[in-house]
Amino acid sequence: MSHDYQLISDIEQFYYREARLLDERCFQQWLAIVDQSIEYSMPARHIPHPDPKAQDTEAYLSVERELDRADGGKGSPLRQDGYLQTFVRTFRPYKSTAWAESPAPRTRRSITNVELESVNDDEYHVRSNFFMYYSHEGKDNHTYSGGRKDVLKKVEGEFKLFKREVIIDWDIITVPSLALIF
Amino acid sequence: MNEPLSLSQTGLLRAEDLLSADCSEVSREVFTSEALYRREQQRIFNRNWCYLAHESQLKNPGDFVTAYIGEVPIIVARGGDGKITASINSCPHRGLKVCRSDSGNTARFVCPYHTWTFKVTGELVGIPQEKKIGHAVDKSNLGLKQVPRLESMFGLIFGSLNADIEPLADYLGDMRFYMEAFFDRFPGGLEVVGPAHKWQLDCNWKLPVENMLGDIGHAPYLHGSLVSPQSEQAVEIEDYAVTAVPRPGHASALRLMPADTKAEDLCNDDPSSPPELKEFLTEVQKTMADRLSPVQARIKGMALGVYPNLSLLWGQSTLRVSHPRAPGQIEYWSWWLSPIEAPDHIKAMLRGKYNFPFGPAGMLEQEDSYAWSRQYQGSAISYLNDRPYYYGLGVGEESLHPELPGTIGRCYNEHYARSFYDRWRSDMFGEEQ
Repeated sequence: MSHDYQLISDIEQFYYREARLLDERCFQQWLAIVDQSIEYSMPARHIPHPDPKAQDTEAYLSVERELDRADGGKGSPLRQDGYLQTFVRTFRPYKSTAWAESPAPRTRRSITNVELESVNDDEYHVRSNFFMYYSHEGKDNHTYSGGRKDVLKKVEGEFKLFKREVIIDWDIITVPSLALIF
Repeated sequence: MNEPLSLSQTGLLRAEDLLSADCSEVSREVFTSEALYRREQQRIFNRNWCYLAHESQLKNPGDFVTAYIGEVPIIVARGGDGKITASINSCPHRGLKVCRSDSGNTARFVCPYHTWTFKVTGELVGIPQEKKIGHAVDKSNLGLKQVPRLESMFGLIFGSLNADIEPLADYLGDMRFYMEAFFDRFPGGLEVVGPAHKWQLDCNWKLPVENMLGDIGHAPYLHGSLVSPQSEQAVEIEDYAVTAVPRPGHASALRLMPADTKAEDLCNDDPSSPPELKEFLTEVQKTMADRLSPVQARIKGMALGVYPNLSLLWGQSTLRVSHPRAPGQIEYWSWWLSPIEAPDHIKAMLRGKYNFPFGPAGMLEQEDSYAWSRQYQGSAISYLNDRPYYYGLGVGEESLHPELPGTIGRCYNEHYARSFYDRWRSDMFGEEQ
């Protein structure tokens, strides 16, 4: 596709602002950029057995084979949230009884590799990577990394998040929780 | 200076220093001692029945999944003859894992180092160097070492490294009554869907196990951000919940509802469930008498655990195993169990009951993980070795019950944990068999 630099820059600005809202723990403001029809998912990632028939082709190392999505009721992703679940995730940290996050972790998200894949009618299909530093209670420090596949739409002139799939990079997860917003 | 010595420093390991007679006091070192951890591998994981896999994961010949018994890596597979076997995943030549996948279907496993090749069931079938050196090798004793005992119940495959262990049915004893109430609930049975969710936690393996044996009292407190102590559910739990210990080490937490409870109130825990889901569960509940006894049908389950490290969260349909990796580290594996005959859209709703609150992205799980890892940090304060943990809530209140097998205690009675540590003590310090 041709390069619409203004559009790409607008999308990048949207992501930087989103990351800042999350790092500044403004989850309620973040929720305002999420559409009520949101589908927020995170496939499970596992190690499938190599398929000998696919050797010498890219299919042999297919990332897709490692992902387990909802697939109706046939898969077991780590996360398959709608608006209600997303709302609860953003609402909870403000409770004094949200023990896993009190005191609140300090996070710093870097969003990179923003790639506008396609524009279908009013849908912007965008991929990006995130790298997040997470520091909790002194020495409990972790780095999170992953990819995101989003569908954005413009509502009243502003981008809104309609769909996000988060691809994680662990088979055995070594960070404290994936219940956060990525 | 009178800082108490740690047991691992003195080299002494005496049961009476670790646990009070009735196990209402549990030493912090039960969770942190390296010496006890090593002994647990020998005397607990190598001697008991451990959960390996679910039969639904091995539908066809050649299907396999990997598992662990303690720290011992296992391949569970369905052979060409349809029989399920379990082999230890380490090449007899130089020790590498011959299977490095989580699951799949294959005819052969190949060791990376010298291409020794094995059937999915562990028999050695090829040594490439054999012909070149012109020296025939007797392969019959060079297969993957087999797990000597393997038995299934309710579709759950258990393995034991102890060839002399009692049959699984005896090992479970009356725990089967509580397992039946869950595993035989749905006509057509249950299956594991998708891969295991696996994550690492900085805690001792026993704490998650203990939690799911019966620590129903923690929910409105640790999970207070989402579970209100005044909610209908929490009040029902305080009124009706009991913990049942059919045999020390195994336990179940459940509500035994009055006989006149309506089917729709017996089967569903969540007032916010969509109407289609409530309807589906109510219909299942109405057929319960075909599969379960009247008392089992009145059980509104919460959690159960099979010694040493299998747990089940009932309403969330998640099966989990706490694999030990170090005194302060586990690999936690959890699976979603789904009713085979449920329509797809119902399965999707049931899945949400698992992966929204539980699993690596779970809203409640994050709080449990937090508590378990912080318990380990507290346990590691050696200056407090003279201050054992208090496990005495409800001590002596537990008793026999007219309808439920085992010893029954009310909600908040910690007897499920006392009896777990009692079992742990006899495994760790009992006579050598």
